[in-house]
Amino acid sequence: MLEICALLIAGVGIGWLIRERRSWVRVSERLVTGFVYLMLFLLGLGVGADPELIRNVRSLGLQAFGIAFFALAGSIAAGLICSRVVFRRHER
Amino acid sequence: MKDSLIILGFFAVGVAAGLGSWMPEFLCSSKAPLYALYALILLVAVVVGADPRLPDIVGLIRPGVLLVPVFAAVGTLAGSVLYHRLFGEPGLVDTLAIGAGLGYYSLSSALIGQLSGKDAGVIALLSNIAREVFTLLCTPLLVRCFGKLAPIMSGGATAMDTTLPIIAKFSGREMTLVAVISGLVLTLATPVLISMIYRFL
Repeated sequence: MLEICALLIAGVGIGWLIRERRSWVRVSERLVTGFVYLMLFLLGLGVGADPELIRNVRSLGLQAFGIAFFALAGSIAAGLICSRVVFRRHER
Repeated sequence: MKDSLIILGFFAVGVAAGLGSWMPEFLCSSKAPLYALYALILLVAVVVGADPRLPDIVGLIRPGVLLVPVFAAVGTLAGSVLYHRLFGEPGLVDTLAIGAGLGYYSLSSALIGQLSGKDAGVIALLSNIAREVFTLLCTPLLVRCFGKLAPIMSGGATAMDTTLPIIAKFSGREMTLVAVISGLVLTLATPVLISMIYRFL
């Protein structure tokens, strides 16, 4: 956990320092895309090599949509409360 | 939408390669995927730090606006707990971590796949993609039924980039900055929250 916080703080700092060098920033953006492709490919590789996971894929999919539905409902409900708390003053 | 499909495509090619038991030794035995993940987290933060909108955003941040991502995260986690209470599977820790992906499916699925297991990683991928797609498709309806803040909430971490155009169009230009701030905070919060959940729960 600490290593992840350290990486985030270091990353934002580095990004801030190189923000004027747009070519470096573009390289970083492309590297993010490349690493995302790599990580998702690796996740797929692990999934494909695991017969039990493949058998359960239907149940995993249902769980995914269930969690998405509840997470969305929770966040939208929180938004209704938030707009009363935060934005009411501005709208008057 | 196109980017999500490309990413799902890479995942699908990986699954096909795995099914054909093409599994390079160095990828499963070594720590290579973990280091790749660390590199990804660092680079994500670099891109956030170099965002040309950052100086304006920092100057305009008010405590009230910072409550928006806090409410989005708390609401999401509360919904995830409720899901776990009702259905039981996956376990509470995994369910919370999957919710804490906050729509950031690429990073959250890679992180959860490493910290927990492949099955939780797959659920995180599908669940958080569903969240982004829902926001892209339903923002007009969300604004009409639940107000201008609703798509910023449902978009989560994606409100600063992929779902920003549609939010700006239907919630109005004055909400654009709120969306960017909320999305930015949640983008950085996603890896922190997920690793905290696995560390402390």
